[in-house]
Amino acid sequence: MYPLIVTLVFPWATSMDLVDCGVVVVDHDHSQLSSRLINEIDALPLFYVTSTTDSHTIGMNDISSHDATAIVEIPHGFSDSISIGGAQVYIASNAVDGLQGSLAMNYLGQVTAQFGQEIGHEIGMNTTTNQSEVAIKYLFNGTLNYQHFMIPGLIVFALIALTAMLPALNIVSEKEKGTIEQMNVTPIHKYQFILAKLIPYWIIGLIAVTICIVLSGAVYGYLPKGSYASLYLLVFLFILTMSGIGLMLSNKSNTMQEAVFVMFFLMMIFTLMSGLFTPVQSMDSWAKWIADINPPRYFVDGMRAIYIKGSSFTQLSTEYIALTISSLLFGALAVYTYKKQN
Amino acid sequence: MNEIKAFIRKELFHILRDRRTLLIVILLPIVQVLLFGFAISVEVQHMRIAMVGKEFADDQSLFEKLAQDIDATDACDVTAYYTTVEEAIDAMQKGEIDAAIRNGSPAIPINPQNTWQAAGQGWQILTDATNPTTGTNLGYLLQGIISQRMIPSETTPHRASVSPNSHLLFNPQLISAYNFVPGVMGLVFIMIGALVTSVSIVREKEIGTMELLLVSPVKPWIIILSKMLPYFIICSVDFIALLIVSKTILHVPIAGSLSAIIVMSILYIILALVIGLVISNKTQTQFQAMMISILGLMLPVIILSGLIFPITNMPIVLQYVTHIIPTKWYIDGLRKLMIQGLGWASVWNDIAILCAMITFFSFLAFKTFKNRL
Repeated sequence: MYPLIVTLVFPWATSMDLVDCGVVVVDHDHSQLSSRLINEIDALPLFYVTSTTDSHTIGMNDISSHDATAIVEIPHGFSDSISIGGAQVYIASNAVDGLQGSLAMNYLGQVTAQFGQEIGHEIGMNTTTNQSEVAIKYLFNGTLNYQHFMIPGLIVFALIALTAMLPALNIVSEKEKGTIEQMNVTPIHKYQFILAKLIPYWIIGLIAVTICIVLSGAVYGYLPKGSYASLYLLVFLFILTMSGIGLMLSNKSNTMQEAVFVMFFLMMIFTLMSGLFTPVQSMDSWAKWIADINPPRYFVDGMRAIYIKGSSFTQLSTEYIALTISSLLFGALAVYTYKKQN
Repeated sequence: MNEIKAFIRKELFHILRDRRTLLIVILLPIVQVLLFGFAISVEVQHMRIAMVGKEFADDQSLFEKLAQDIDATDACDVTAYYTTVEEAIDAMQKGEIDAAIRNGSPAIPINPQNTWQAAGQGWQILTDATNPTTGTNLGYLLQGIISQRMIPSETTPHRASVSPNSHLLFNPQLISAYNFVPGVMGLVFIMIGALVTSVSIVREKEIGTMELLLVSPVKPWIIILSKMLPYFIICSVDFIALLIVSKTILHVPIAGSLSAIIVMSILYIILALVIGLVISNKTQTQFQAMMISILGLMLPVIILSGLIFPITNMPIVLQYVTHIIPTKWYIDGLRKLMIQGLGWASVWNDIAILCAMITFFSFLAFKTFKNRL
């Protein structure tokens, strides 16, 4: 049920792109060229002109009231000064959301600069082609589809919730019910006990991941570029790590409430510092250090690399090594912290 | 009056003795605010750029100057020099670099249609667009740097041009904290209000002491009120602490009306507590209460409230769904007040909606409360 919602609903919600950006235009020039610029901005799929006005104040008010995200102000004498090469256009955007604001500002800047080039061509001025063309090519996610970026990430999130939270509750609930006593008096080895606890979660986790992959293939037409074998190996190692952490926590807690709260606390940190929602590159150095020892970070990196970049097993050696180490470490800790005598 | 006081004292003892709960209600908000303020950021930073094909470049000194320009930019570092594009792509797949720049290299063209007329003419920026937002932002950034370096000399004829005079409003330094801190506050209050309160009430049901309380002459509403008041106090303490931390350590401004901020927050905290109450009425075990709060509340709040992902980006259907998430209105109002420095008038609709939600959920809580268990 839960993986269903995560895969089907949330990718639609998550997007950091600039979409449907409202622009309010303050036109002091009222010339043919200024109207043309306004129409060109409006015609772009990304922007729409919310209104045109004469007054700077009204324009700024529109931004404050969130009617528009950006403002373009065309000064008086705009069309005359284009041919002289000195036309300026004032562009400002609401940067409370820094990323959206700067994207809007940059893009509008490009649009107006290109407008200048266009007009230049038409009036026969810019005849020499610019020696230095700069072209941008977007690799791996050529259509710049944000959902493709989020889906592997959301699969990770669902997996963390399932394979960390449930094991955390597992042993504690036995403690609360009292059945743990009976287990403790059997001659079974500690590691056999823990292993038996881990295996069902591997299976559940693998099934959940499969459901998510199939669903996203069916609904979004989106399948991993890389090999399924490396994908599942990554998943396997990750589930081991998470369940190990969960079980370790379970061993240390006496009530379910304790276990859930601490797990919740850890989950928040795990997900926020894993590069799931925001890039690890953008973190400051001390925060990066936390991200470096955070197992989900390697899993998120690996998942996205396999899904979107089609990276191979050998290319992702760092991620695999990191996850192998962490799974062995937490598996061992889970066994070690399990005490038969209380 | 005395009854209420006695119960509140009892509740406070419960809370103070439970270290794990204290962890959640006091440590977590502070950690979250610090994380969001310092660690979480969507800005383009620490980007690793590779320069490709220096040996084949027409003008090697220009190539080198460009590399220096890029390295000099705060957001980028030139970390590698490759001979062929394949090496760069391989490095991207390994996650070692974020973008590559090449100039007229005779290596196999990436896009056969994109033929440069002669070596040395033109530059190509290849960005890792796995994350489309950073991919495009980095692309624009690099394009700007290259264009700067390639400004035509004085001998080229005059060109018609329009130059943009661009500004960022309200947050000119693009500090992510401005955007996130109101969001984190919204998340924290609803988590404490809903999760911890509901668990606390249900715990009494589970242990069995709730029955005892209900058969006593103490009125049920006093019992419930005394459960909610301590958490209200905790939330208020958190609120003050968060405001102080944001202002002093993160330098998030409190540009607008402080009284409006306080009133909005109080309303929101009350709403969170009432929602917690409704959850506790409907669940029988702590486990259920926790699961509903975490899965049914926290995840939708994180994703759909405008905390991280802008609501304007969502499909229309989902945008309507966000209207029922109380946090969305709170964050909206708080951002207007704290960052944009607006006053009461701008947030009257957010406040009105919060009040309406409080009324609705209180009604629901009243209806679902079982006197007889």
